[in-house]
Amino acid sequence: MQTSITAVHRLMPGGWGNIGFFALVTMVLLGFLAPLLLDLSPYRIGAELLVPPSWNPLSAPILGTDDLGRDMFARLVYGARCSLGIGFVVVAVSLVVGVGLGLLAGVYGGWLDAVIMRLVDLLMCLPSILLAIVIVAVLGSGLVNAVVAVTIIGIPRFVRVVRSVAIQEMQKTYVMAAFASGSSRFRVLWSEVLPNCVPPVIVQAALGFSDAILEIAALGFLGLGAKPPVAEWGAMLADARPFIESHPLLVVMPGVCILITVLSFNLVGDALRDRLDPKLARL
Amino acid sequence: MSLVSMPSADTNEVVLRVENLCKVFRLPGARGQVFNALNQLNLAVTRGRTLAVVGESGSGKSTMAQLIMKLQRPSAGRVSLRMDSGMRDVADLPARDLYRKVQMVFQDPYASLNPRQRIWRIVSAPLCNYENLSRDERRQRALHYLHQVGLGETQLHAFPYMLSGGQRQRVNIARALATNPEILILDEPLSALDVSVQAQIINLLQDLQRDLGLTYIFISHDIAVVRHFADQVLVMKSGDMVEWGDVDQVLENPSQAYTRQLLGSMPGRPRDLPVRKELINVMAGG
Repeated sequence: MQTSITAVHRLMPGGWGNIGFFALVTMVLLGFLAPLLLDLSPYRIGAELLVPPSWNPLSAPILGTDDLGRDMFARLVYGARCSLGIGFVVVAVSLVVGVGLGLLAGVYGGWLDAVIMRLVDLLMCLPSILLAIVIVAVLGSGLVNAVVAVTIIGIPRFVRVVRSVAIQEMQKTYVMAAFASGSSRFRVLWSEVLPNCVPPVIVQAALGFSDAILEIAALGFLGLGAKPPVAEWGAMLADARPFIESHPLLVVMPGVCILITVLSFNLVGDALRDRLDPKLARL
Repeated sequence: MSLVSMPSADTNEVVLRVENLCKVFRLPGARGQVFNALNQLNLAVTRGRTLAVVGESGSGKSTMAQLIMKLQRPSAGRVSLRMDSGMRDVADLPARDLYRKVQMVFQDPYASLNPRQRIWRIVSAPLCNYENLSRDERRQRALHYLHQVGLGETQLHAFPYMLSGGQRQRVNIARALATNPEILILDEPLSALDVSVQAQIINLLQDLQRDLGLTYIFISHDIAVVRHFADQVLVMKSGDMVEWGDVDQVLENPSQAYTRQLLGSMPGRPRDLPVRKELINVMAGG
């Protein structure tokens, strides 16, 4: 029992991060359990349009209905699924690609390093949302293409962090010792350098999550991401725009969801950074 | 007068020869300016013996070790190694063959072990470059080499931070032994350890040399240890070879002014450090 408590304690980011952590856990539970337990549909069109929230968990539209009479609570819950799911996919793919490229650049160096880092510079020299719009414009709009675009944009942060760790690691005596025992460069990369990249990569993953969700929402808002009637927070914002004066809560609610999620991931990410990576925190 | 006597007939067989070895570093920033880290080094190492390399910081001792280990490329000259087929140039030797013959123990026992790996993984890592081993086989082989250096099952699953400095240096030695090398390059293996631990490690190295017939290239600052431990000594100064000969001759009757100066300034000089002498006696007795 004691050990399981300390294990949980070690996983907790600490400080403000704990608040973010609990908010995210709540979000995940709501997003994935609520549809199983309650009869929710984000697409079912009700008879009454623009019903104000009841704010009562026991009476039907807790958060009211939108301009087509769809249950706002259901849409927000499915929006959480969508955002968190997409965030996960985006972070997972850009992490794998970014860590791989960063390791190659840092461990092998030379022209490979130069080529990879110039490509990364190319991605980083444009504002990310602008770049996402360009990529979506090239690929065509739609949720899948938006995910591809945001994934590409998420890669550079991992490449840079991993490359800098790898370059530091390559100077270490134990890496020299590995070479001196006949290890190939790839073996050094895999068993000496990669494990030491884990803490900063975890931090970047948490921060990358929030960026991904924000960018997907932005693309959805601009009509380049999720298409109606998909329940996605950004697209919901855009749909609700005509009613901002008469029914401001329709805009506020998805906005607050985005805010809470992004803020939570940032809190967790910053706390993890302080915990795992004291060197970066001081910068 | 050597302390280590090898019974076999090929006692005088040269196993490693260094010829005209040079290493020049281009200085960053200054165009065309170079730094001669190593200048025309010549030496030969005899099987089963210990060659000590002494000299002040920056004299090229570690550069020499790294050139022999092919961790750096020489600017000129060559290193040759006795293989089954005779003396072979290290530059032509595949890394696998070289590192089965020559291994290195690094100076800093804290920096030379990956903090994220367990000891069995560290010790058995060199083996994985030569054989496909399962986890269990790796652990067993690691345990074998840990036993050789006086460690055991307790340390097998530990992380480096759980071990003392002396234990870490033993792990370093165990890792170096893992490919069953004939030559060990010891790059100041004692300098990060305190005196009593130094004595234990010296004893361990001597036992290993006797049991496994190892040849040592022993880089050191410590004249007292060199006197006790080595058969031959090479004195270096800013990349140049100053003196090379039997330990007794070089340390008792140095022919070069620099050697005398070095003997006078190094810790463990024979005349006015009685404490060191006692240590030598302890080591010789134990």
